[in-house]
Amino acid sequence: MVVNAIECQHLTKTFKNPQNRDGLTVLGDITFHVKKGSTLAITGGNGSGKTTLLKVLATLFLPDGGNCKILGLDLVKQASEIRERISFVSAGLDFQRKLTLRENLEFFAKVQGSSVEPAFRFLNEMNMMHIIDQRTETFSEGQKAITRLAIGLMKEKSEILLLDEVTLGLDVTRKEEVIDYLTKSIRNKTLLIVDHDSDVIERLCEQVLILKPGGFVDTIVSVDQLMKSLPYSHEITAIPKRYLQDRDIKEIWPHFVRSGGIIKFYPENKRQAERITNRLLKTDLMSSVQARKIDLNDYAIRYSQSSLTELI
Amino acid sequence: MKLLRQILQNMRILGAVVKRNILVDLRYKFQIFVEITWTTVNVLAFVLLGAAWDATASPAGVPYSMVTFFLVATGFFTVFSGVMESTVEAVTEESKLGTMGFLITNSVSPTTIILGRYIAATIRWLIVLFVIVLPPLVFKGVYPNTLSLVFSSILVFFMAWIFMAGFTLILTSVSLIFKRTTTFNKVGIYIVRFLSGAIVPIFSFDSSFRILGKPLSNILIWFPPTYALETLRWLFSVQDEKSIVSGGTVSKDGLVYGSFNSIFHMNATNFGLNDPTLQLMYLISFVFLLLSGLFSYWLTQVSRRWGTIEFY
Repeated sequence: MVVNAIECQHLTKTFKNPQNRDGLTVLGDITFHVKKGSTLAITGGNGSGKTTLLKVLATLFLPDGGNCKILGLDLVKQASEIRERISFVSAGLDFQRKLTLRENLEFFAKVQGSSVEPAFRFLNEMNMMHIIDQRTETFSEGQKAITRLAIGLMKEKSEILLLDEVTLGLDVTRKEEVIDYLTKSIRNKTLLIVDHDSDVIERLCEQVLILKPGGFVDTIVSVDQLMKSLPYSHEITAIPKRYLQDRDIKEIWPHFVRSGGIIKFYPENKRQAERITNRLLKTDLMSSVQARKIDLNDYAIRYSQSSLTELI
Repeated sequence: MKLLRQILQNMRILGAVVKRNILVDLRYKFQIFVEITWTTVNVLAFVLLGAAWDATASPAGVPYSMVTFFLVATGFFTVFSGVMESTVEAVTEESKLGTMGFLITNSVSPTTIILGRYIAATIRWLIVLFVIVLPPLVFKGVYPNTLSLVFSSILVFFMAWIFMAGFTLILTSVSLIFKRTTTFNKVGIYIVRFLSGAIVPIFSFDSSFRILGKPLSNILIWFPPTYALETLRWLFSVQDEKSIVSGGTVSKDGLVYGSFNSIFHMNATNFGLNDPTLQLMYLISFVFLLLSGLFSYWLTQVSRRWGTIEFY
């Protein structure tokens, strides 16, 4: 009885090319396992090999070293058997623009050996059935993202779902709808997801695999543990029109970090973020103010650097 | 049982790929217009060349119409080079679309993608052949006028089609490594295009040019596409040769094989299923296609290892 959906030991991957004969090592040493039915997010800084790892597990790239078993099957020797039991969707997947949504879905259903019905159900939930006979060349990025997921969800027999930044391009409302749908539909399936959005990860995953640059496993932590590790929820970046003394900034908000000529604030929650942003805008001292929600990469990077408390 | 299942699965996928390509092709109407124009210009140029030849050459030297001589050869070679040109982009286009990764992880091999495109392109170019090339031939009374000759023409065309599938498979698979349609691909296409114009003069006027003691045409005839070209020309335009045969009504079939064998020192019997020469050509073509398939598989594995199978 196989209990692990994925079991990798010392997995390595190096891309070689004529300019660099030694190659670029993207996965240095990956060892981890995922139990059947678990949900795992993969995160890490740029160049840590998140997408490459997903593509190796999806049998797209051949690993150079180590060994890996997917549902008890050898990743290299039994790739075709594995492909029948997994579903991989990448944000890079596009469609034949001259074909309608229906024609595209029917094609992907045919090659997957699955029914197109699960995709229709998902599209119906996402209110996209009215454009089923439109050519995909007219689609927005959000509609394309929904279509990608529809294709991934078509293969109902798949036991592992590998999703690479599939919520990219979705607006907040759509993202909520997608998360709700996935939460309901992926029960009993193993989910591996690469996504920067902490909301997506928090609601869909139980654990997070953090990768270090060079493709090494830093740690695997539970999502709760990771989310609690950062005492701030937003990052506000302000560029002043002239050099400001510390006391001038403290009048706006007492806690801040200087980084060159840039001033950064780390509010604990959304309300605090709004207050700081409003104050910054009112002062007329800033030439630019940008606020963003902390994403999973921030958590992962800060977590692995263990420098969270330095800021607050 | 497993092998049968695999074959059925591959046929299903191939069918889906062909259907998608036909649907897409039909929607690029301007492309079809360009192809029809290109074929028409090509055919017209050679018909004019043939007409000019007919007007100046002595009847004893060339005892049949050069117009039909050129038309048959040019028409068929235009179809083959057109099919190749459409197919050679298959891998590059899937990579650009981002569908390559998804298709690979669903057991759709690059070989299937290429052959799917080859079959769809053949259907498109056969339509062009029937619309542009065959009507002038029929109008001039140049066509296989018995059922057995029609059947032979189809058999010969199919044999060359199999061989060209292998050639195209090799040419297109290279894109798995180099990603773009490279000079290598283009050289391949230009060779076929050049042959479409040059092979006819070579076959007609090489009696004094010998290699290994044989006219060049007697060597080239063992290359399946040139064999097909010459045979098709024979099967279509042979009735123009009536003038050189004395003694009442001539059996077209008898004329075909007798002349063919005496010129090329072969032992063709009827260009049918039991013709030993055609059987040998089929064997060469199928072996070549099989080797091309193995080459394509090897390149797929290399590109999975090098990461060039998909942009990363």
